[in-house]
Amino acid sequence: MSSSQHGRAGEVFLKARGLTGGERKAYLDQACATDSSLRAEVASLLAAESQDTISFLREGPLVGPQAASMDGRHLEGQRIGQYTLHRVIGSGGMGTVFEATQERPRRRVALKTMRSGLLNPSILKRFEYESQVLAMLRHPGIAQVYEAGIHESPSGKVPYFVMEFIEEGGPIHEYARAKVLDIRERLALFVSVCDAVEHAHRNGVIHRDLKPDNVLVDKQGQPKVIDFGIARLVQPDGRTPTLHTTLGEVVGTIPYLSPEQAAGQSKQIDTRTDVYTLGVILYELLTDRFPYAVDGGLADVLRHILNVGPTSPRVYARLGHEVETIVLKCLQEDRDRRYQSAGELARDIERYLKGEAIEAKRDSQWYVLRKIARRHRALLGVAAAFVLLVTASAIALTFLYTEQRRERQRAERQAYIANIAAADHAIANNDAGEALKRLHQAPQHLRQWEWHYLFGHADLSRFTLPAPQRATHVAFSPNGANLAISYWSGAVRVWNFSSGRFTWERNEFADPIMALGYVADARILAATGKAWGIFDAATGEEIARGEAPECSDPMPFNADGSRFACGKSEDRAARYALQGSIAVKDTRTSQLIQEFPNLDNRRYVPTAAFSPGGRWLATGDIGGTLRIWDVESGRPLITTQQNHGRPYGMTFSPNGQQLATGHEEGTVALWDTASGECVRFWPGHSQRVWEISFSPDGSLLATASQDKSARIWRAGDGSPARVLRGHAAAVTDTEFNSQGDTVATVSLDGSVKLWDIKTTSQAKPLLMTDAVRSVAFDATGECLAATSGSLTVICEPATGREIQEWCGETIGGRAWLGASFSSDGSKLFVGNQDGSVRILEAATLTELGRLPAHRDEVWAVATSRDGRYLASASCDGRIVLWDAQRADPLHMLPGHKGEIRRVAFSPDSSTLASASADGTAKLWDVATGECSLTYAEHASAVHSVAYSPDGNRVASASDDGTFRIWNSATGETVRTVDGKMQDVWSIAYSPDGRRLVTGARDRTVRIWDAETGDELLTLRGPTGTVEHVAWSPDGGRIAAGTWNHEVFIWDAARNLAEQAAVGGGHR
Amino acid sequence: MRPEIVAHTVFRLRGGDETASSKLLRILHDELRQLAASWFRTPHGTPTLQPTALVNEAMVRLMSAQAVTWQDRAHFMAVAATAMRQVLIDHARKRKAQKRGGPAARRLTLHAGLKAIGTDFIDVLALDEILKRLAALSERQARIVEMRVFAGLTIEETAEVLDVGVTTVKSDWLIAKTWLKRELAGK
Repeated sequence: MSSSQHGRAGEVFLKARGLTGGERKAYLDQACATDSSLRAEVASLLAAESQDTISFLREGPLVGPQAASMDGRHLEGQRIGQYTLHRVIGSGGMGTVFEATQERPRRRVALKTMRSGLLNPSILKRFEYESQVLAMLRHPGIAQVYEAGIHESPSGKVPYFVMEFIEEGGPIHEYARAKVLDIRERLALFVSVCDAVEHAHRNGVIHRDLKPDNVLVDKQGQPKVIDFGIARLVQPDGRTPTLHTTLGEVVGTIPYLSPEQAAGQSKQIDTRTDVYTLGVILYELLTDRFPYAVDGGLADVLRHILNVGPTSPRVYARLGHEVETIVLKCLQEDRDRRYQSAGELARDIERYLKGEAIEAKRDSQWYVLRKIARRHRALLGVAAAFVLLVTASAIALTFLYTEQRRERQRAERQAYIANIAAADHAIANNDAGEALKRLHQAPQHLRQWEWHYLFGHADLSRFTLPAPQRATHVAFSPNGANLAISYWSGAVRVWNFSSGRFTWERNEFADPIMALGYVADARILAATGKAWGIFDAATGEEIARGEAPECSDPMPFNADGSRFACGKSEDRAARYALQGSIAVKDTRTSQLIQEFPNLDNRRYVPTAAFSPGGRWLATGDIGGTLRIWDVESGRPLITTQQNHGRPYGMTFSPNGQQLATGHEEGTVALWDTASGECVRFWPGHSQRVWEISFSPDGSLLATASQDKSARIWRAGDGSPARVLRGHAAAVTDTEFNSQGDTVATVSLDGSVKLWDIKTTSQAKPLLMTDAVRSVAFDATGECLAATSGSLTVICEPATGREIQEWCGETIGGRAWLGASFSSDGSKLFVGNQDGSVRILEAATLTELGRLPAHRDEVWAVATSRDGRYLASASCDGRIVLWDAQRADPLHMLPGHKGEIRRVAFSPDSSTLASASADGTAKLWDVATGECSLTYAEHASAVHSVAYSPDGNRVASASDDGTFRIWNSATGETVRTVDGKMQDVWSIAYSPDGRRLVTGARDRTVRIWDAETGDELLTLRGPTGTVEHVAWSPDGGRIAAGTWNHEVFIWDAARNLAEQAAVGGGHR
Repeated sequence: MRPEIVAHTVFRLRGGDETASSKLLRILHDELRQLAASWFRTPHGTPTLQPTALVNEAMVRLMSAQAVTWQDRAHFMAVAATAMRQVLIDHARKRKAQKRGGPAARRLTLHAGLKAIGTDFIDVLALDEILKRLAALSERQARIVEMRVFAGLTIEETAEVLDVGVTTVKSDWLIAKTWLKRELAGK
């Protein structure tokens, strides 16, 4: 037996063990049709599993039965009551829908099984009552509910519904799109939907879960609303069912939530909730958009629904004011301001269609103003203040000039803070576009470390190619040295990586290039929907070109470029023609090789892919059917209907055994090309997947999505490997290079980006063995020392890699405490628990000597910038000042009445500041050893002190939860900042003195404006109390050590350096 | 061996450093051999040994407990599984060579806390041989069995070490254990 046979047997075994009896047999017959050894292997595994003999193997995971009952396919062919189930026509969080046959009267029906979930007697009773109410709803626009019942299956009770079967029903907006209905036709169609909903309302049934998927249009063009009241049956407490289902459905349903549903106010749900949702459907029907931004996370969408309000539909479609007024009236947040019934809405639309005046009124100016005021109360305050200022300026112009300027600066600063916060949030949500937009809105003169840090993290790509025009596709040359790029304009260019330039450019086509690739003999083939050209990859010289006159769709071609596939529409003018077929032609002669009939009478989407050898062609259509064709014979080999919506991107794995598809709803699926079965399926993106590609070894998949990100997945199990954040708009193409270490992406933002997918991993903290006591940069910022328990480590801040580790001989767990580099970086001084300071050679971490300084633990060590002094401080309450060169003690500084936590020299090396648990900070004259100032404003222990770079200020952080900035000459408090951080353990100035960083017990590292005390950014990562923070002397990095053993380094250095190089940044 | 050095080796191991893996394997092999030897020396009521208990003891001895995250533990244990397997085989071979007792002397209870229904003991050498065959068919499945059986790693820990999804580990474990069960039954 080979490993591939073993693998296959494992797969079949896993599936088969979830089945029983006849189903299992049928499955095995099908799966092992010709392979008797496979069959025997699986049978013996199944037999072995059923014997419970070997104890250690018993404990294991549960896979199978639950999974199988979820998608309901195992019920196909079964009977429920008088119904025979045929095939699954849909499935979702609420259950599975089957096409079924009823015995008497004999008719086709749709049978929906409900997830049994939490069934208890009272819910079952309610189910029976409500299903009778539903059965009484009779209206041509409502899919009739015939019966509801509870099926007693071996695995438990399964509630089900039997409904009218809708012939060839498709969602209303797809129908409208396919039939190319104009606005008036769409409105007329919508009126009959409203009438159906009105009928249900009059019978006391609220739908609660209206969405286009629940409004189907049948063969005769009659809209049919399905699933009336079912939401309530499944969740009798009135919660919105879809909020609690899987990701894919959330994405599909959330945009149709009313504000009262989004806010979770189930008691407020009434018929006007349906009116609101009808408004969303109408909006989408007219504009193909949602009234809100529906990208971002679930929370964002809910926030948009609740707070932002709809965008005018006239932004997206040519609509009259009256239609806009009707739509917006449905979408009022306040239920009393909506149409009070679906009937009212229908009548108003009819009035518009007849040319009569509509009843809905536009919101009055005053109402709009009030609404804006409510939503932007803070903003209005600023505006009002400004108005006041302007009026008053006539009276006291000189006074107000400064006041106004200050006000403007304040507003500017507030806006900066808001932009930083929004950018940080956007980055957390992988929205690079929003992050960069917010960052670019920040005025240059205010940009500091936090800006550069975020800017460097918004875009994780390695390189962005210059974007003279909008690109459509990219293709790596086989040797990886060049990248071919095609454009909307019809141009093709080749970028050379080693020279960093475009080597050639051709402008041969008038249409966007829709297919691009390297083909045999290092040539480049580029194709628009109508024409193609082959160019010499090195020179760009045209080798051949041709037309594809009958093509209506873009053309994928096979590996050697000898054949291409294209959609063939009977009527090229009709973009939405239902008729059409797909053809494979010879590239050189344009001769038809094979034409694939349109089996379902549906339009093929421009999605097709050749298998690596070119023998097969995979296609997808708008109904979601996937087919794999044999190109030579023209026969379909595999036909699979899937429910994830229209497929957009598809690609074969390099070995041809799998087909990967990306779908309308953002889902990604992997198919076995031999059996046509879905091997794996995962939610993927929150929006449409445009393109998908395999790495050359087949182990990774890259997806490009409308949600502005590209992602890398492990093909083996569909687990996420990386998020490629950096594009500002939808990503439309993605391609691996032949080494599989680089991915190129194309975005509607116009750029082409390259990503290192092997090296750019998430920065992990350096882990120590105990709580981290101290972090210290050397004067160059190229070394970082960290102490923790019995370990001292030196690492390289740029990479976070450890260079040296040292234990020394230590007793107990808490041996190494404060640390500081000598000013020339050659030595590291480390305080020890035994009261000594050890002198280490920084390069090798070997001990050179020790200073027997204290009677107790040495918590803090500091060196003066001029290199002359060393200070050590202990929990015995004493500070010793040393001559750093000769290691002689100069002064003993007694005076603190408690432990000393940290010490710091002034930048001119003349003064030493100390922080003590006695609640004071003191300044000492280095020359005389006298205490020159005692600062006693803090309410409890002072943990940390830091000098501003100009030496005029000292910042002290305390147990009382605040930090204070005070005058180093007078001891006068300049500012007290209470950031609600519990204990503030550590504080440090940025080298330019404009920022402060704090570390605190609330596990945060925060950046502050040193002048105003405004909080700017909280750095992500720490999971324990942050005992020590340090800012690198070059200003680029912040390091922090936590009690949870972590050492973090946050890096803005690269971006700061780049900004400095181009002179763009303000330093 | 200093706990902090072991902890750091584990840290480097998590970063994918191969030399760290062999270093830790050496450390663990020595430690487990000592532990097992002292165990075999003491007269116990039954000739059974619980490798997971030994491996846990090794961990307590080698790593200072407060420094250990669950990921560290997983990576440590994964290496310990290999070391444990080797120690057990060495021991069984030695016994066999010395002809002290028949197959019974080579039998071990492999999973702590699981009361047996049928097979309570497993011949280590037979299991080793079967695992080698499984490794030829699926390296990953054999590794999963090794980690789960010889060091008692959980599914989540196994997934962390192999850097694959939990689902993958679950289904591989299911297939591998059924396969093993069949092979062992054939013995």
